[in-house]
Amino acid sequence: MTFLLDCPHCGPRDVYEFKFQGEVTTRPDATPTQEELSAYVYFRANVAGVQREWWYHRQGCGLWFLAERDTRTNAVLSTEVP
Amino acid sequence: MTRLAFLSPSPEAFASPLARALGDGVTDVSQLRKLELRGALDGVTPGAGEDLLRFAPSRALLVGEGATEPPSGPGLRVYDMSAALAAFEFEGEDALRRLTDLEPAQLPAAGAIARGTWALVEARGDGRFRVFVPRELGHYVVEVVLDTLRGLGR
Amino acid sequence: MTAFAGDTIGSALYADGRRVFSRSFKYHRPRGLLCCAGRCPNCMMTVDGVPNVRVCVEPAREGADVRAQNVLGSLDRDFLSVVDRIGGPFTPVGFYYRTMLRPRRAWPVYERVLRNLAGLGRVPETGEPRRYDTEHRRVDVLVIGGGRSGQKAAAEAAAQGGRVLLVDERGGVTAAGYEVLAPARAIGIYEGGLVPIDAGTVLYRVRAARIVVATGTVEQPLVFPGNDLVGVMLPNAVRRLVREWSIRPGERAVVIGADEVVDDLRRAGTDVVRRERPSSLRAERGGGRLARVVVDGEAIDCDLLVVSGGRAPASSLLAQGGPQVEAVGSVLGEQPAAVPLDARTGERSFVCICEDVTDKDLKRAVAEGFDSIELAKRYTTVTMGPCQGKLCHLASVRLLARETKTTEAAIGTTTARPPWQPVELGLLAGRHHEPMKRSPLHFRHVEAGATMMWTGAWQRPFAYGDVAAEVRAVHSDLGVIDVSTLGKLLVKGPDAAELLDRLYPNRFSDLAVGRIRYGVITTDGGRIVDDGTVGRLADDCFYVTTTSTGSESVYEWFEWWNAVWRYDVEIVNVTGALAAVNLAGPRAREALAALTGDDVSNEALSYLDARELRVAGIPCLALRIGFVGELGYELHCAASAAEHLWDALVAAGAVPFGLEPQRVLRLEKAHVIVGQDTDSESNLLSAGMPWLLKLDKGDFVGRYAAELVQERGVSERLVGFTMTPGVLPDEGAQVVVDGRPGGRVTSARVSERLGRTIGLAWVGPEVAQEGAEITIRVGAADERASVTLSPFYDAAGERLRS
Repeated sequence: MTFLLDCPHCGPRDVYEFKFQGEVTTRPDATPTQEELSAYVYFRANVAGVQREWWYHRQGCGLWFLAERDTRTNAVLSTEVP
Repeated sequence: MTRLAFLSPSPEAFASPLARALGDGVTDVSQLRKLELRGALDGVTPGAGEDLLRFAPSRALLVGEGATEPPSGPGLRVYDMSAALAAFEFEGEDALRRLTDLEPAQLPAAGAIARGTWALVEARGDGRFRVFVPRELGHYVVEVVLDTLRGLGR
Repeated sequence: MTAFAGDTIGSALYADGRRVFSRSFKYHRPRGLLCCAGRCPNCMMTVDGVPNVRVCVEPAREGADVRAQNVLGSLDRDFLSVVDRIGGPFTPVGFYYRTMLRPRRAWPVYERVLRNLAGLGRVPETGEPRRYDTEHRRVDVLVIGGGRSGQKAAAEAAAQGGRVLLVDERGGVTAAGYEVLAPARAIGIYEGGLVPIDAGTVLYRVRAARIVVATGTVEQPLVFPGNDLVGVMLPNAVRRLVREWSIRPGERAVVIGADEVVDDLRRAGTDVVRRERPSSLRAERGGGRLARVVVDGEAIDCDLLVVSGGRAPASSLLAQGGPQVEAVGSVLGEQPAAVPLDARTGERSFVCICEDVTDKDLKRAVAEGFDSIELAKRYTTVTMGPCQGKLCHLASVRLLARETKTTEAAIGTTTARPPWQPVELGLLAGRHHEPMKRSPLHFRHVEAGATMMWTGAWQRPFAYGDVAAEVRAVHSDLGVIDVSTLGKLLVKGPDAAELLDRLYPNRFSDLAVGRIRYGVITTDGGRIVDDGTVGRLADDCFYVTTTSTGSESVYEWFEWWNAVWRYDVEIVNVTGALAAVNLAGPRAREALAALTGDDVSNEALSYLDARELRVAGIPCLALRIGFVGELGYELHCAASAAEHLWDALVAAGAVPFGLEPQRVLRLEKAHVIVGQDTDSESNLLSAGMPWLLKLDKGDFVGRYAAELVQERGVSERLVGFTMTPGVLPDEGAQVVVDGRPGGRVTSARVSERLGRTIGLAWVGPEVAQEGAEITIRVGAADERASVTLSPFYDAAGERLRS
């Protein structure tokens, strides 16, 4: 994996400068059943397509931001600071 | 209310993290005062002889000898990172290219040096570069820089 | 041997009369110069200790030591060539999948024998390793290939401004307004315009906005009986021998389909016999090398056969790069026309000379069912040798099409993957630098003779000499340990307390300023991931410590949740900014009082207090906590002042103690070490910390899981145990219940102070009771142990609070 990720502050950088914090998920806001909790903790949509995900510019400016990336091609369509 | 006085170095009891790593081609500047500024940075101007290095949307490093009063203002937080960072200088764009993929035109910038160590790199002009790295990795990074210079025949 | 300027090692050897340059991979057949372009394996030798050097393109240099590879004896008389004569029937394609399978025990022997019979050069095991460096480059345009089209593309790009880099495999390409890297090879084309370039001892990691592939074509050998004999050459080899090195390639040559070299041969004084488009061709051996050629039934004596299957586009890099990459020149051309030849019996017809794969091998593979190109490739290993398919991929596809009675297009191609040319692993590895995190007191430990050990990326002292003496010093006098590696975070802002209440299962919003509380961090799955202390320095400022190896992940955990919840809080990682030492033992207060003007009486600085003091003139944050079970103070100060503080404490009589004595001391108090005594399944209730679970507050990370565990109960429990001092179980030793595994030991030490072996273990909940008897397997014996749920030493914590 050698694609470039566009940090909203630093611009395009090697993806290894970043930490991938995973798909954006929705935390249950009321007491979930065990199935609902397991799904939230362990399961992910893992789409073959555009995924909304968290990234952290670990070896750089330290920004936490969201990206939309096509998991089939690693093309990053957009990034935003929440 | 704590002023976090225990963060700031004591000048009379100073030990550099690079004391035992140095060699030809690397200059230790770890004794410089390095204040991390967060928040409302736009109103901050560096004093005489000081550098303000912005490396994140609302984070900057104010570097200097330490003679001036630290900046203050509404929405501005100041943390003394003088002891947190080792700092050194070396010369040569060719060496820079072997240490990091940051380009001179991008500097000052935060990125990776010596196999994945976080660094803040500054161009001082005339092919000279100043690098700030976490203290605990300072000795290791300087070893890598010295080895890199050796590989270039220096 | 003498060489001239401009010679390669190969041309010098050829001029000296050498014709056999190597022995083939499997059959040890003699091989000679074939391509003179660095593509085939025939001229590979070991030069100055470096194996697999293609001497046909390796510049000759003074004093070079050149040796043959893969021979037993010499190149001209290789004893292992017996494999060629008798091995054939025993070593058909894929033989190692069918023979030598039993007895299985003997496989290591078979493997050793095979390893020595076949292969390429040997990697040197002694001597100085080569130095390889890595360099980053960023360019606007990268042109791969310095032939006519490549140079034109580079010049055009340079004229438009911007940084242009041209790379070519051959040296001697001169720059014309742009930068040139030659001789150097592009290894592959990766995402993000990354093209790593192998320049021998420097790896260039080039990022290019535009990539132009101008790699041209590769001359293809033909497949016919005897096509690998010494004396069979491609036209390019002849051209180079004559024009670049002024060498006569042979006495009498047969030239087929390569008219362009006839003049060169004649100029060099070789007799030339030309033939056009034969329908049958075979080369015959005499004296170990090419002696005659039979063309359409006519036998012609010769010592050189020049024959070409045309030029195939070198499109591998293009295929790897995909649509992001441009191409110019002959790499965009068509495949050369096929030359169908009627192959008779006689010598073998080689499809892949690197791996000694014959046309019969491929036919047999198809007959056995490996009829797709990907399967046939893997079964026969065709294209998997040093040429990586440059000289044999096209031939293998065409042969497969004929055998399966389909078209080339239907067969397709194998997936093109990097590296395009073989690359030394050392180049990819670069310099060997292992990041080492050093505490601000690192050299004090080293100079005191401590045995250092790794804890994650940190180096820490295991002990300074006598572990038992260090333990005794803490119990009865005064010790000091460097705990600078602990993670330290400032959590500051109006919402700091609320953030911490949501990240920890217990409560911090009711923590008074100047007080400390222990905390454990759990995930939303309820699993324990880290622990530490939280001290309140001000209403809006907390000081959080983490485990040494967890500092980065806890910092990232806090930052991420804050990015999600967006509290008005700032988290500052001060792990490296501050050093920390734990001064512990009955004399701790007395020693501290002598070094500070601040009041350190039990009333002014009580157990679990946090105070700012000056110690030995250094501003410190003093935390009164008790990991090692005796009266103690954790002093945090600016890292640059650490050596000064340490020296003052040691001068006051504090005995430095390391991680091993600390482990004994904390175990006597049954203090859990996250990651040692807990694992990825442990939760608060099973680990025996129910008091940390404050369900009478709002939401926190791990709340839902904790409620579920409470409801259902736990399936295992972490408990303490004691045994007689003569027995010491290993970490991981099994707890035995009715002859089956029923738990495991996580920590165990002999306590001199208590005269017992003590430890922590996971057991079933039914035996998690004070005084219960359990059995632990130690070595081959089952030993008895007694469960305890309270600390082994000073259970009431009186010494801590004194």
